[in-house]
Amino acid sequence: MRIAILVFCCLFFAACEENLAPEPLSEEEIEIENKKRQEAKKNDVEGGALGNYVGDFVESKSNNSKGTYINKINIVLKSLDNGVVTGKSIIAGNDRPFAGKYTIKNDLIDIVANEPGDDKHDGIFYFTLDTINKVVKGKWVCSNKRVAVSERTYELPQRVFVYKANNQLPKAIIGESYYNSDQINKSTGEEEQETITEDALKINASTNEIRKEDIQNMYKGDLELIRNTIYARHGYSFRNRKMRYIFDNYVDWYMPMSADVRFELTALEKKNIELLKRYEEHAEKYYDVFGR
Amino acid sequence: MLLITKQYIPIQSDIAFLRIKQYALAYPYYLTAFYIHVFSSIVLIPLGGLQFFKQIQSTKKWHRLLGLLYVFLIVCLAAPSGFLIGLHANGGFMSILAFCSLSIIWFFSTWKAFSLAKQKQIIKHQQWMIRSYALTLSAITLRFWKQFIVYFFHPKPMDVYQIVAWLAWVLNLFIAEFFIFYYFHKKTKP
Repeated sequence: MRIAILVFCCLFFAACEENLAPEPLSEEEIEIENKKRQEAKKNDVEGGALGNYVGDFVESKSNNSKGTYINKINIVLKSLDNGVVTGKSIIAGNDRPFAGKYTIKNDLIDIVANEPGDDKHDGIFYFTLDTINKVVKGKWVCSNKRVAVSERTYELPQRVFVYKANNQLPKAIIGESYYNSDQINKSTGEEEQETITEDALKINASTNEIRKEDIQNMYKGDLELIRNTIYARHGYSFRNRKMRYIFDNYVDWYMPMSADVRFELTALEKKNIELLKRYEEHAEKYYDVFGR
Repeated sequence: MLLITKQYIPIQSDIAFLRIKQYALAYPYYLTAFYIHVFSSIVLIPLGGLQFFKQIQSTKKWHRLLGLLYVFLIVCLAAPSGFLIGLHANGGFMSILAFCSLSIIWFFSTWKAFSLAKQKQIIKHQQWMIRSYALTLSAITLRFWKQFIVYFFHPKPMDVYQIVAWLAWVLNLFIAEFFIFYYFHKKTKP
């Protein structure tokens, strides 16, 4: 019995010792610790450099004579660690990873990063990151020289992405036409363009539940834009050229963040998308044909 | 017209025109009325046209049998079902008024023509049947006008619908009246 009590006591004390907190630091020591941390942060150029860099991806060497328009690119720096950089670029519905090396010179970080290379449009990014102004500047060279555009340049400021349900299209967009929507009217022989009307700004499909009365008298183009603005708010990178042209060129708050935003959508947005699609489909199929 | 009807076979509740009528499908009668209307009307267009041919008119047995079918389909099926779906028409009050009054006048003119035939008032029967068939043909003219207007003016979808809802049958009725006036005027002159 005695032995049992002894063992129990030993265990009890042992446990207590383990749970003992480390001796509290004096105020002076805390201050020193904080200063150390701040300095470490300052020196951690890499940490401050991580994030999204968004802007125009401008063509500088191209093999085709046809002019192309400028897409918005998002260069995402995910990690800068021991000279190794990883990240991805999101542009025109493509989400491509890259990896490479970096060197630090004062406030500048020089980066060379390769895309995987299993796609014919993969290439190499060469850029310098200004850690004070938080700007990335450089070029991208396609590994395959036979593609239409083999080299592009860019100067991209760092931007933070926030989903805001009340982001809306700018007023300046009214009256603009969709990319390449020129069509020759068969009856009059005149050129016709599909243009955006003020209807496209009347509805925010991320904040309000849409009723049929709101949209039944709208053109298909406006319905399409209202629906795609939902995706744009979530940072969807458009594969669809018509929509990409609008959001890349006219909408300041827009940032391409992902090639798939389906899981980001709210219940309200999903419901509105469903209804909008029905009316788009109806307009597409029956607006200018015999039948309904 | 056959192709338009064909897309509703087999019977489904979420296709073509019905894709944007989901709110109306909440009413239990809507889908039934819709299908009755679509399938009775597609028979009525050739059936009604056939009755104007002399060959059919001369064989009284056939003319009466087909005529009875025409009247039955409109009075018991197509017109009442048209009224019910008209209550939920796209384009708001103006379209609803257009489609509902169309179905009432269609019902009335067909019934009038039928009772005149029973009374052997053949001239008047012919006149009222012309009116009835003019309204039957509004199914075609509605779609024709829609395409015509969209082609030239590109209005908004429901604006088009409100216009054609009226244009489709009022104009037909005018043409029918002109036809009746001139045709029977000439006939009774000598």
